[in-house]
Amino acid sequence: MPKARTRIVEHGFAEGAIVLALVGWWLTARGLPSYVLPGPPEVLLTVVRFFTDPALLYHLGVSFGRVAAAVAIAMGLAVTLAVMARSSPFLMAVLERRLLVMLNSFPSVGWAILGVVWFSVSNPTVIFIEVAIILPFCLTNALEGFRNIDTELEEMGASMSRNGWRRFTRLTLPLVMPFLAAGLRISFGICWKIALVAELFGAQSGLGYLLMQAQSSANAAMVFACCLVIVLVVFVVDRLLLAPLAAAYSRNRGLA
Amino acid sequence: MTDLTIAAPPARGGTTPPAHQWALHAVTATALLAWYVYSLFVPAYQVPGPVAVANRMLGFVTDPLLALQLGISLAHVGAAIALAFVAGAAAALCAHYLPVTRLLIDSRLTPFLNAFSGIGWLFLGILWFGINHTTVVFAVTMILIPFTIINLRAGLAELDTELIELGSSLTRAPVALMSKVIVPMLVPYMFATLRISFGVAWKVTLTAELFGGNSGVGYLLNVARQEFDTETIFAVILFILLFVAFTEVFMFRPLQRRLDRRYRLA
Repeated sequence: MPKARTRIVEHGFAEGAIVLALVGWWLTARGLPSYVLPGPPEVLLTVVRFFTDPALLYHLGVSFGRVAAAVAIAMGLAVTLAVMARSSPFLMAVLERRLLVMLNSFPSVGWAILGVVWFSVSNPTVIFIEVAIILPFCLTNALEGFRNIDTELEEMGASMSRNGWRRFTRLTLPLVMPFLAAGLRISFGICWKIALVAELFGAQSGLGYLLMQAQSSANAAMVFACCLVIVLVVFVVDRLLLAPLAAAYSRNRGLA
Repeated sequence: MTDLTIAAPPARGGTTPPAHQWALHAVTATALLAWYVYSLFVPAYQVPGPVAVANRMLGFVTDPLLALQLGISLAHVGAAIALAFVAGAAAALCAHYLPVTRLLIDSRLTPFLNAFSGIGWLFLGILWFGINHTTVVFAVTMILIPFTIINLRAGLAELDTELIELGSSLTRAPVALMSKVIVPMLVPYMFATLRISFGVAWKVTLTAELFGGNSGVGYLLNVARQEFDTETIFAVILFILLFVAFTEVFMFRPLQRRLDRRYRLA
C-alpha cells in the first residue's frame, strides 16, 4: 500500500524534524547561560510545575477564567448587536461602516492603557480590555452569519410557529452557529495570544503577571514555560471543545 | 485544512445608499458631540475633550520629532510584513511542492506558531536581543508568519490544476510557468495576506514598541502613560485609527475592487 507508506514517511519526517529541533535547542542551550536560553529539561520541569504547584495553577486558572468570561461576553454582545441589525439596514450600516472600522483599527495596547486609566487595575478592567480587543472578530462573524441565513427557511419557520423565541432557538441560532463557532475559535485564540496584554499593566495575578515577573527577574525558563502553557491550553481547548462544536454544526448544515 | 476561516477577507455586502451616507456622518457627529459633553464632566486626565486632542494632533503633524516616531513605526510594520511574507511563502511553497514536508508544516509548525502567544515572542525577543528595533520586528514577524502560511497555503490549494497543465504543455521552462501562470493565479491570495498582515501588524507593533522598543509610536504611548498625559494617548490612538482607516479606504479597497474585476472567473 503506497499510501500507507507515504504516510509513514511523512510522519517520520515531521516527528524527526521536531526531535532534531529539540536536540538542536538542547545543544545550543548547553553553551549558553540559562537566562538567555534555558535547556529543554529545565523548561519542561517549569511547565510541569504549572500543574503541580498550586500558586502557578492559580495564575493559570485566573487567566483562563478571564479569557472565558471575555469570550462569552464579547460573543453575547456581538450576537445581540447582529440580531438588532437584522431588522434595521441603518443600524447594520452603523455597525459595519463605523463601529467595526473603528474597532478593527484600534490598537490593542490602546485599550489596555485606556482601561487602566479609566477604571484602575481590577478583574473587570482586564475583562473589559479583552472584550474590547476580541469584539471586532466576534462581530464580523456574527454579522456574516446572520447575513447568510436562508430567508426561505425562516419563512417556513414562521408558518410553523408564532413563538418568536422558539423560532430563534430552534431555527435561527442553529443556522448561524457555524459562523459563531468559527468566531469563538478565532477569538479564543486571539484572547490568549494578544489580549493577554491586558494583564501586563499592573494586574496582580494571571499569566501576564507571571510573564512580567519572569521578565524582570531574567527567569527565561519561566518565560518559555508560560509560552508553552499557552500553546497547550489553546491547543487542548480548541481540539476538545471548540473544534467538535464547529464540526457538529457544520455537519448539520450538510457542509463538508 | 487549518482552523482559521480568514483565508480571504469576506466581501463587504452591498453599497450604502446615499441617504444612509448622510445619516452615518450624523452618527459620527453625534459621537463626537457626546464625547465633548462627557469630557466636560470628567477630569481631563481621564477623558480629555476633542478640542484638546485635536490640538495635540496638530502638534504631532508639525513637530518633526513626532513625525519621525510615526515613520519609525511604519518602518517596523513594513519590515515585519516583508519578512513574514518571505518566510511564510517559503514554508507554504515547501509544503506544496515537497509532499514529505506537508505534515510537518500543516499540522505541526503552523498550529504551533498559530497558538504561540504574541506577548511570548515579545518577551523572548527582549531576553535575546534587548530593547531595540530587532526585538520589535522579530516579535511582529513571528506573529504574522502563521497568518501568511495559512493564506498562501489556501491559495496554493485552490490553484487551477487544468490551467497549470495547459501552461506546462506550452512551455517547459519552470520560471516562465511560475511567473506567467502560477503567480498571477496567486495574486488575490497574496493581496489578502498583505491586507490581513497590515491590520494585525499595526495592532501589535504598538505593544511591541511599548515593551520592547526605544522608539516609535508605542514608545511615545509608554512615555505618555507614565506621565498620565491622556491627551497624547488619545491623539496617538486617533492617528492610528485614521491612518488604518485611510489606507483601507484609499488603498486596499480600490485595489481589491480592481483585483475582483480582473479575477472574476465563474
